[in-house]
Amino acid sequence: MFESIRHLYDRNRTLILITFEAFWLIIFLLERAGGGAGVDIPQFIYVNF
Amino acid sequence: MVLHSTSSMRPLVETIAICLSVLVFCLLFLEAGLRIIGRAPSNVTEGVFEQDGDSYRLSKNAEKIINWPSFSYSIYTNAFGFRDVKKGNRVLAGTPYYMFMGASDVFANGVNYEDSFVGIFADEASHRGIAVLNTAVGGHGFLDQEAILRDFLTGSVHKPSRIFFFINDMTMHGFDSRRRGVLIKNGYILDRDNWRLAYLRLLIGNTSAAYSFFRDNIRKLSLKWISGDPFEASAQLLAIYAKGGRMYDDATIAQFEAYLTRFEQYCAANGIDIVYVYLPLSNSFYLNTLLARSGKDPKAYDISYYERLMARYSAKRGKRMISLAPVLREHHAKGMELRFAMDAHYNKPTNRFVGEYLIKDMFGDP
Repeated sequence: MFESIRHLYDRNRTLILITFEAFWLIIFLLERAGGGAGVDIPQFIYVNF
Repeated sequence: MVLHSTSSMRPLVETIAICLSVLVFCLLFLEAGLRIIGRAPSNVTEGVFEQDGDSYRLSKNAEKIINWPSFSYSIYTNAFGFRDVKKGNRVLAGTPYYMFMGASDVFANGVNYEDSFVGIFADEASHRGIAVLNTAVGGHGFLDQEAILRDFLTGSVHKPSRIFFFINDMTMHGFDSRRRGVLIKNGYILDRDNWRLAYLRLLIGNTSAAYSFFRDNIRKLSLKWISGDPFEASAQLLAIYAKGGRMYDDATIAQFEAYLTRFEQYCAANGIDIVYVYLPLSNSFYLNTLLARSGKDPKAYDISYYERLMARYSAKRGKRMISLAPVLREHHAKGMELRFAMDAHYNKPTNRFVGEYLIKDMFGDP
């Protein structure tokens, strides 16, 4: 089983790395563009106005 | 031919499967990482509302703690189902007490009770032997709050000596409406007609830090780049302040005044003094700027109309009215931010000076 997983990884290494890096790049960009401080203000489920 | 198409499908299926597997792994990693650094899902406890017929009210002895890296606040309700500094019973027998009635501005979304202007006032009042109950609920109008009061007073021997009846531009504009068609699920308010998808999003937001991360950052981006302005003037806001709106109609004004008069008579019959408190909407202080930016004519709107309307009525009826507009205007003119960045409720510093203003107005200088 480990051999087949390793074989799968070797065959698709580029795709795996690109997907992995693209995901974390998006996370980084969202974090930076969103203000970099997480949810720093209240977001109410129900807002009166 | 069949073999060719089958063999060409396999790389595509395999590619999709590989990408999805990597994304799932990354999402799990993101979920764990966010929780480790303290960025938990948005709502880690149940909501604070309960069904009240076709409408809603706060549930009794509720607790909601909201924690973010740079901000946290808590909501507690007492055994009456009113916001308070902690859960549990409130013993009022033999103690004079005041009631604060209103909407989410009086409930003080975003700040702890003790940092809200009601909480600040209540602390001062307690030193003078007066208790305070805050019946305000986010989204409630006059009729909703009156229903809460009537329910509370039914069978109650000990009644408040005074009610601070908070009025804002929105509640005046919708003085004759009640919240209907509301469904409460696990303490959360949902539209009865379309609740399932909204509830699903709520549940995911409750359980997944990764979902909350994406949701919150996409929301911030959309406000920055699509809306362009966190203080966007909504159609609802413009309708409230537009000259010639419903509250300019003489018949509607007469209905509004008749409603207040009936409410005063109900209070008088129960030996309760009423003080009106006008609290303008925070966005009203930014409205002229927003109108200028959007090319609308500021002369077509009047942000002080409701204050004048309420003042005229109070004078006619010989009722006391406290207007918080001047003190808010004064601080806004000094460049102070009155509200939260992404929410129109008054922030902690604003609650502080409003509470101090009310204390000074009611009890005089210390």
